[in-house]
Amino acid sequence: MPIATDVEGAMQAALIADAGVTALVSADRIKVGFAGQSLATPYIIHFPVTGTPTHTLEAIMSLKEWEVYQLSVFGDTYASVKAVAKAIVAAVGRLTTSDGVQFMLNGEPRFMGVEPNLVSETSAEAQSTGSFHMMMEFKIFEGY
Amino acid sequence: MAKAPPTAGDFRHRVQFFRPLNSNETTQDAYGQDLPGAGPVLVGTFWCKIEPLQGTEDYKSDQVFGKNMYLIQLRHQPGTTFTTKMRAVWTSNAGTRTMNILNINDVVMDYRPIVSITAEDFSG
Repeated sequence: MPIATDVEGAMQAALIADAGVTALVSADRIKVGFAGQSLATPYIIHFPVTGTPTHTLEAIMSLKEWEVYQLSVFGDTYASVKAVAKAIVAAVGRLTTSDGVQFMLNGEPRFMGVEPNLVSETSAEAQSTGSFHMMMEFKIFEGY
Repeated sequence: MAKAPPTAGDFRHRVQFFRPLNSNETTQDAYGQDLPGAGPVLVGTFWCKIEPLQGTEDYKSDQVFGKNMYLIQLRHQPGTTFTTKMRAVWTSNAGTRTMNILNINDVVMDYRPIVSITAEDFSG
């Protein structure tokens, strides 16, 4: 695995390293920014939303504060996305990595609605035509 | 100009229609949502005419989905009521497509009652 050199890479590495998360969502379904096409559910998309650099009189320090870093979970049922959200909170809700990145859960998982796109072919949940979206926000201190 | 009515040879695709479980056929999880249980119920398998209408791509849930629209036509089926809650499953050499039924019209074409269904699938 490539060494993380930014906040996205640190989050990706932390999620993939957690057995509780990967038991529900395999590592190849955890992605930054975009899920691509035909990705099986449930899957996790994460990306930075807003951040603030740290200024000194002399320069911008390497320390950055990401006020909002978003994780989104998409799945076929409410239960499935809630279970993944709980696993994410347990994994990185309060975590300091060995390279000094600090993850702090900043917004409890909240339901964003159902997006009408998926028609499951095999599961009996074929009755639902949408993917459930649960979102949570993190505050992250990054020292890269 | 009106479209030509389908001929017998046009009804050459086998399409299965499934209905969702009724509320008295399901159990619910801790969040009040229906558990899969026995799954969708097969209402029937019918000979249909299938006409692809449009293909496009849709961006939702941070994913891109291939979306296809179809016109499915079949003869009136006594005793079967089609609803938009149903799924149409079309299996062909090209694979299986599960379609979400959008609209149903009962029409008469050339003195023959025809069920005309618009459906879409998101097969990726």
